[in-house]
Amino acid sequence: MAEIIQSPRGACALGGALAAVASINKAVPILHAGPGCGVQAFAGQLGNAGPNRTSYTPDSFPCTNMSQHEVVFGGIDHLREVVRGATEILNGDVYFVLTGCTSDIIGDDVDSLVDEFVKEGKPVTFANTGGLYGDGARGYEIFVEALAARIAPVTETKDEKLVNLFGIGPGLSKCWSGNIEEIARIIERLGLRVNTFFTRGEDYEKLLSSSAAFANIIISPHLLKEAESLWETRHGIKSFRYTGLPVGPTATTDFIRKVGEALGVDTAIVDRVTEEEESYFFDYASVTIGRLPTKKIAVVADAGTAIGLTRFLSDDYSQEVVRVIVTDNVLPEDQPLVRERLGGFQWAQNPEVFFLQDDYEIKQALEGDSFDMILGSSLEDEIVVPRGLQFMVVSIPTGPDMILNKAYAGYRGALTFVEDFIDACRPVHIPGISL
Amino acid sequence: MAKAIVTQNREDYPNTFYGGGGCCGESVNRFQSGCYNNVNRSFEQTKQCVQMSSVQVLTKIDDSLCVFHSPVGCTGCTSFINAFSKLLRVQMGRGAPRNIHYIATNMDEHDVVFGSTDKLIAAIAEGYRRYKPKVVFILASCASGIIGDNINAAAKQAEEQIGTKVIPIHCEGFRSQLNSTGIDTAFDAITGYLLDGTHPPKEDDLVNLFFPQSTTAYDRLEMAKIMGLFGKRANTVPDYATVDDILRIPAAAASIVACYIFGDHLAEWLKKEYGIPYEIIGLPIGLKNTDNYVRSLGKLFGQEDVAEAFIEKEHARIEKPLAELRKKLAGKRVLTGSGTSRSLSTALLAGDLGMEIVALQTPVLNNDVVREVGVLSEQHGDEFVLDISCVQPFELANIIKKYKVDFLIGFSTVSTMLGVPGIQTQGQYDFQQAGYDGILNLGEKIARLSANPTLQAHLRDRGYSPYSEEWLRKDPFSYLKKEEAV
Repeated sequence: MAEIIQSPRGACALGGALAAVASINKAVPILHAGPGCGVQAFAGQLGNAGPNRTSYTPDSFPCTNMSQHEVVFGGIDHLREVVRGATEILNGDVYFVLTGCTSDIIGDDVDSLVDEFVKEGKPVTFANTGGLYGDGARGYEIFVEALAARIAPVTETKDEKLVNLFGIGPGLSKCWSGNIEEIARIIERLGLRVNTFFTRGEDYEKLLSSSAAFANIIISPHLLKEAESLWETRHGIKSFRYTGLPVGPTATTDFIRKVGEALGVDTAIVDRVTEEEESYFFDYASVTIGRLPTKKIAVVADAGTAIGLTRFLSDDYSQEVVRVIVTDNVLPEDQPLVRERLGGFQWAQNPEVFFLQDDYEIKQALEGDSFDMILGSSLEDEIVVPRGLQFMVVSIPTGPDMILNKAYAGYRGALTFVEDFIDACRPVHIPGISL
Repeated sequence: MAKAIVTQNREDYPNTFYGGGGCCGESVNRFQSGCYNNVNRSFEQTKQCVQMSSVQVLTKIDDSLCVFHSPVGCTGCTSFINAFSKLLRVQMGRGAPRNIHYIATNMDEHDVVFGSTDKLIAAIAEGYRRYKPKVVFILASCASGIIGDNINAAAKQAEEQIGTKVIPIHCEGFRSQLNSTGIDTAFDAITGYLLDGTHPPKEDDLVNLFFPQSTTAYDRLEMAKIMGLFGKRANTVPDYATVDDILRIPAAAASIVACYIFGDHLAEWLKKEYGIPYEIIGLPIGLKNTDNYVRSLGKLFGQEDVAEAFIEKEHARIEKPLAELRKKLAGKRVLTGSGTSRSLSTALLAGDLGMEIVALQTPVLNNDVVREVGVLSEQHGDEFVLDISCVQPFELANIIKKYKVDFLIGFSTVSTMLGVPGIQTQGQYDFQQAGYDGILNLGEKIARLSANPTLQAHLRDRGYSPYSEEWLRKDPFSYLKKEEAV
């Protein structure tokens, strides 16, 4: 039984799945859900992460708006009308039915309804994504599982240069799309091609070609375990997993070397790419030395972001991270790995680590005076003013900041992070005045 | 918690319709002759739900706690309201930003199968331990409603346990076609559970001011400022009000309802129970509704002369710049759409600016709307399109193309992708729309956006609108069902 959560950081399974589908070019989500679900799920997930990507059908998803009538008599007939209408009204390469709690609880047979359209040759598919199945991250997992189980055709032919990139779910973290693009950029420098699915205008074609990839790269310590085994059993595609977002030269080079090893990339290419990228980073990073902050920091973020930023600040940028609060749902069996990845630095001390989703408990864990800066979500702003702490938004909900293609991951993203970090370290932050 | 309160759904009111569309003259005729019927859409886009409207009223009561008996997703809008309310709190001078206190019971598959009122009661007890709220609201969800969790009984049990009022809000998303039912549900809870039987000492200079929650801080302050001319203070409940402020609602000398669907219930109840007079006006946006606001204050307090003098002075003050704006905007074809009151007010404003109304979208068709549409028809004729929907952008896209709309006032995404400039009037917090300065302010913005729609043109040319050509050629109301809704 899931614990109660004060001020949840993100939406439900529908929110995570909707964020994924809405981020695919010319994919049309169709919600078989209650009247508020489209707005709630969109606002709670993708909207709370930027919004760094407008969807193809912004704020106007087809929806059955299930009312008492459907609750009592079932909603399949109306869903049939709405799917029919969507295929007539909205240009789409694929129509993706996503269910909400109402449909999942009353047990509407969406699978059979979708089959009717598939038999007509219409590109319609579905996933059961009711909020009762979990949070936004779970919704992203359900999407990737549906991709492996239902959408990607089984094929023996594999493209030895094509990889699928998973683990950074739309709307699950700040800068998710920029981070995907930066990591794809670096992997492509190794001579590979990357399906990112959710960025660079990628469309349904990439979903279909995913089963022709020869490997998956999963960037997450804990997500997509079920999907990982589905890819292997159904498509014979093995996954290389990197446990945390690679941010900065030390982590990104470690990531690239391990990718190279796992996927059999020529070491000469790996050496050349990492050398060039590291030089690019340090050429700029060296310029910041006159304003190098000396901060004691508390990080409040999802596991992937927390690992990425903590490792970068500790291993590359001479800062001291003293406390880390991991705010997404990391199961007890995954916590030791995440904890391990939040420590073991070359010089820096290991921070205290907490796993908390409830805002009240998070705020309690942020008491004390062992740090002078918080890297967290917009929910932390209320404590920084009275306590005179410095503050930077690095996790969801991000609040009013406009985030487009900004990245914190990789080599170039780490430079953007440094820019924002030093800006946030100004002694007095008055809008319009540079101090 | 003494009794269970059942709020009537808005669509069950007499003369209240939520679904339809067509020529306005013809729609009004059918309405007036009692032949209007609700029709559902066979295709529809996501709407807003009852719960979203309830939380807009309740979450901002300062010393309250909201417990969402739902999966976490049902707090999606509340997380946005939270961000908006922190800003508004600072803009309104109500202190440092702080997060709204709300807890989700995080209902999962296990809870759905076995029921979860125990967890709900535990969440309330834990929330009470944390913040000692003066009142706790339980917000129902589709999930809790379908599985039949008895939140009334849970409220009673929790109330006995913590010794503080626990109020069940029946805002299950599926219960009503109109999200405005959620506003009534919330206000009925305030009257039935908090105000009933209270008799605070009268405050003759206090006026309850009810307005939709999308109203910007600048608009709130402008309304309060105008009220000051009559020597009155605005009691802008329930925004950032404490429970004690709420309990002062019956102390007021009068109520002003600046919306056709927000607070009208409460004002009527206050009149019945306490004899407090009230006036329902539209949002004071545009000349007519701003004048209305000023006049209604004059009428309520016997200061008609003050009202008329102020109106005359303000009209004279803005006459010249308004004439300049009219020159720039004359003849531009406009679609307005949003919530009921904002749609109608901004349509009137468009008329002030010399623009021509070609279509109006409103979630509700009722007596208020028909009266205001009549006013609009005097200026714009009765041929314009009336779309009765909770924002169905696919119909608006069609109307924009078919009727060659030049400008959209409302939710502007749909027009932008079609190359037509628009202004987002809801969810904006950085500019004044209400009052006489609001007319010039909105007018300036509309004129500037009209003068340079470059981004819109680029997006149109690059095919960012998802709507098919085939659809844009059809009748905009092709997906209205033939039979009456049941």
